[in-house]
Amino acid sequence: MSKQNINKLLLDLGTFITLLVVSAPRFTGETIHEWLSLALGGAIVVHLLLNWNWIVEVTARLFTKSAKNSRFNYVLNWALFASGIMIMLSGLMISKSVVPFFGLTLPQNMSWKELHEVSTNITMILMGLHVAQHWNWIVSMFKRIFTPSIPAQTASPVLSIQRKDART
Amino acid sequence: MKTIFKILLILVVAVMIGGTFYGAVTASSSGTDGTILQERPQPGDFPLDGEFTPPDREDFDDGVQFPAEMIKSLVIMTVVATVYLNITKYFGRKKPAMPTSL
Repeated sequence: MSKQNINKLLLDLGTFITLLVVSAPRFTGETIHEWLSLALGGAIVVHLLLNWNWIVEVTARLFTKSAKNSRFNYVLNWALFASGIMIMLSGLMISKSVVPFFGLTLPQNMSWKELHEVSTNITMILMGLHVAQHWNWIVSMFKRIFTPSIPAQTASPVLSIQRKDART
Repeated sequence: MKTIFKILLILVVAVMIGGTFYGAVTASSSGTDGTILQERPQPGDFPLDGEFTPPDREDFDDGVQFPAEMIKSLVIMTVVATVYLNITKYFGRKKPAMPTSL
């Protein structure tokens, strides 16, 4: 198993757990919720960088017949990205720790709070679909980690354009 | 250098999407029902142990609480993922087998 695959799995696992923790501001407290969310934004940027090749390949071949299967995944990922931005934006607009820390004052609009909650729920639904799309890869990776003696089974590709890094 | 360019590209796209959202929200909410507060409430604006608590602060300062929201998120994701996987599995199985020979 390649080192990059392990890095990806660890990053994705960490991001997923952070997302769960961040989704409970009453559990963490408001300050941790806001700063951890900001860190989560950074983790998502790294996630995108690690999967950059796939993004470029599918974007280039989006309207060709060969990208038929990956089109749904591509649109789903864009929707997830947009809803994530909506969470960040609405979160910053109602921020009580991060924005004041930088000495900024934003006009407060009560609709941002509602949007923050709505976009969080949408993101959770999209994240469920995102995990489901990559379920075979996740299971395959965990099998390889915990049973290294068993020859690695190739995960059934979710995408018609197979990920270059899916093989060891 | 390439990585910096990629990060910048991601940030530019994020700012564009965020700007669109911001424009849409401010355009739809301005001049409607007067819910916009021009000034963010400052900590000193509310008495610390007084009779009034800002509505969006009421539950956050009570210490660590049971992570019900975390469980809710996990349940949403699990249900959606399970339903999706079962649907794709079902329709994958329903596909007619391609004849291998005539």
